[in-house]
Amino acid sequence: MAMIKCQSELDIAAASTLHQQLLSALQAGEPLDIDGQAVSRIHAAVLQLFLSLIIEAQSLKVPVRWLNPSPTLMESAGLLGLVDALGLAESG
Amino acid sequence: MAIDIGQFIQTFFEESLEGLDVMEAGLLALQPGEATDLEQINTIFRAAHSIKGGSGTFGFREVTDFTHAMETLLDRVREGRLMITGEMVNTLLESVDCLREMLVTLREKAEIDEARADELRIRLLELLELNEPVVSKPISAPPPTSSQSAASPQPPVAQSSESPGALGWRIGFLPHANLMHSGNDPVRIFRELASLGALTVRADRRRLPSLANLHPEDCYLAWELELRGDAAREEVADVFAWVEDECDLHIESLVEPPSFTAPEELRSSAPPSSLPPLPSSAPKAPAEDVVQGELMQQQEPPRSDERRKPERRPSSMASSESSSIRVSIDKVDAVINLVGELVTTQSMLSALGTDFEMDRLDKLHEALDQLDRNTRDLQEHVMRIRMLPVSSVFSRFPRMVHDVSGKLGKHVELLINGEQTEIDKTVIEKIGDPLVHLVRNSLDHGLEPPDERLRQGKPETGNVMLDAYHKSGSIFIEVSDDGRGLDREALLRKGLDTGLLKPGEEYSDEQVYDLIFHPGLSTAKQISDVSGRGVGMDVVRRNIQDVGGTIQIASQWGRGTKITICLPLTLAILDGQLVTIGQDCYIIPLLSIIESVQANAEMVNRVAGKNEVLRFRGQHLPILRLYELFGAKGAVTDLMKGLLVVVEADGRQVGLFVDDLLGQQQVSIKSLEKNFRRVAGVAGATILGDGRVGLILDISGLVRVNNAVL
Repeated sequence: MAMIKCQSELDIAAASTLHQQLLSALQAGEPLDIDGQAVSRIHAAVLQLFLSLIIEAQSLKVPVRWLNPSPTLMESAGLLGLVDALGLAESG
Repeated sequence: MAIDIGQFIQTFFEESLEGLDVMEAGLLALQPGEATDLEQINTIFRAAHSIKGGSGTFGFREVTDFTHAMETLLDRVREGRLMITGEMVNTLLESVDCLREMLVTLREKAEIDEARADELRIRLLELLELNEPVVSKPISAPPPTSSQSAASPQPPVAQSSESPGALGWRIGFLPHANLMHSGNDPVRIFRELASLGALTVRADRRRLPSLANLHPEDCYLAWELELRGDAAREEVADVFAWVEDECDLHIESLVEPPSFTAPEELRSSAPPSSLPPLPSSAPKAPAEDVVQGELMQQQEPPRSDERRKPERRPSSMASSESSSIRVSIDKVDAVINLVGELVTTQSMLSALGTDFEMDRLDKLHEALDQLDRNTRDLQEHVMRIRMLPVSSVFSRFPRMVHDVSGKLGKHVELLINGEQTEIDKTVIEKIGDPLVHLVRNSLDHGLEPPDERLRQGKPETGNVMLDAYHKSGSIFIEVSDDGRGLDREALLRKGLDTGLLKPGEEYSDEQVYDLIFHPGLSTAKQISDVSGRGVGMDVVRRNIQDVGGTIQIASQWGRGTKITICLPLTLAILDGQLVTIGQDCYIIPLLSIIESVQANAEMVNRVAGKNEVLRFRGQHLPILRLYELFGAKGAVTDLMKGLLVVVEADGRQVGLFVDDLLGQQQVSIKSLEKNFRRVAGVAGATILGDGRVGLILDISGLVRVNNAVL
């Protein structure tokens, strides 16, 4: 079981680092938990990364789960119309 | 950096008020009950639409809402779903008035009379409900599906179709890959959008690559959004203003569902959450391609009472009704050209001034003549900048005639000529009210009711004519009618009853008609709320005189009345005759001067041993010794040694006794009242070439003073 703990500020500058983290996690092929509790700001670029991860994980049958998504995370995903696609509906 | 749109707010007010004039003129031109004049309706609609758009941009929600109601009605007419009725025209005209009041109130940063706006809005709604046939309006073609939009991307900011009766907006947002590179964030954009109404978002993820192939800062997602509510298109477009070059954007109105919902929309500003659900015909994109249309975000828009209050602008933006002027670029170019010529002349003079020798005196005179011409031309052209067409005053009369004639049950045709004649802006602002009074008088007292006109063999429809023209350096405005004319006998009786005229004396028509300018004298048999209270004509004459004008009446019983107003071209500069009285220099406006004469003993008589008169071209004119009036010391007192300047004002002539005549010159008029105090017989002051102050004589005032003396 792998765990990615989101930092508070997930702006576009954080996207590159997170991209590498997500790629590594996906390649590990283990079930993945993403802790979104701390997120106080999240950019569309980051949400797009998570979406790409989740779609690919689904095709690879790798379970991905959100833990405690923060209200900001939920709101931002909602604004982009991505709550269901990100699997946040179940965890929220 | 954000643009301060506050700087454009004054332009918005000016343009909107002009737009209302256009609407009013258009509405008055409509013929109720006849085939709809589409061109006219479109003109009215466009004006309303511009006001709505502008008010939305500046956050004047009350104006936006109100104009929206008007637009909806006009749109129904435009579509041929409603016929123009007299009631509709009157309600729309009242709405124009209400809107004008709202704009003026907002400009003055005061509170809007919402009760009146609501009342009118309900009446507009009633017109819709009364006339609206139950028509199932087909829903327009569905929006492109996600697969369509991916296959054929929309052009950037495509021309959107726009229906003012729409429920909201459908927005296609296809970011270019680089949209997020410059810091733009769709989350922020959509958050802002959601503050305008209920937002539904569908994400299109078909362009999203695998995680390994994804560049984290590129944008691969696209969105289709629906914003429900009454946000203006401009507000929606503004949200995307910073990314319009980095995306393909398409905004189109959401069409109404089959049941007619516009009245609901008008009745209250209910939150869009109460709106019907999406039309079932809305397309569903393939499940594997698009994150399906679940209501991802349906934020409540701000409640109507919590809506953005109209922004109160800082006091520097205060009302400036008379502080700005719109000038055609031609006029400005003409001034610039003249300044160029002036600069050339100045260079010529500088060159002459360097090592000047007497043999170049002719050249110097020539250059000074040129400077004189340049200055005069420049002054003339700068004055022209202040000139506005008299149509800015005349344009209010079609509406007034429409309203007042309706109230009085008279049939009236208003004929306007010369509305392009230009007058100084200050004069224009001052003559509006007097003209209104004169036209009202014509409508109320001048024109007879239709049955009376028919009995007298006149056409049932009476004419009121407004005419403006230039003549001998002045502007003339005539207000005439083909009504019953002034009742000379009634005026004479009134004059005798009130002691203004003396029994047993003969009075000319002019003297009798002049009585209507006396305060409190009205021969109207019935006082109406239009006119006839005997107050007004004295004020009319005073207002006209205040701007240096005169007013005259010609009338024929049974045939009509013509009132002629003569106005100066400008209030800022006048051509004057300089005269001396004792040590002082005075200026007599050239336009008032008939002739200057050196009197001899045979030309001067004394009436009743007291008042002096000048026998001049078969008439006896009163002589006014100005040195006595102004208390000038050292002046010539012997009539044979000085000069008599014959002047005319208000149709009367007097001889002004002065020491001598100096030259003629243009003088710039300065207000004596502002700088000192009002002085009877003096219109203003000017600074003379030698630095002294010269007083400009008020000829009308002097004629009045002379009457008082007599």
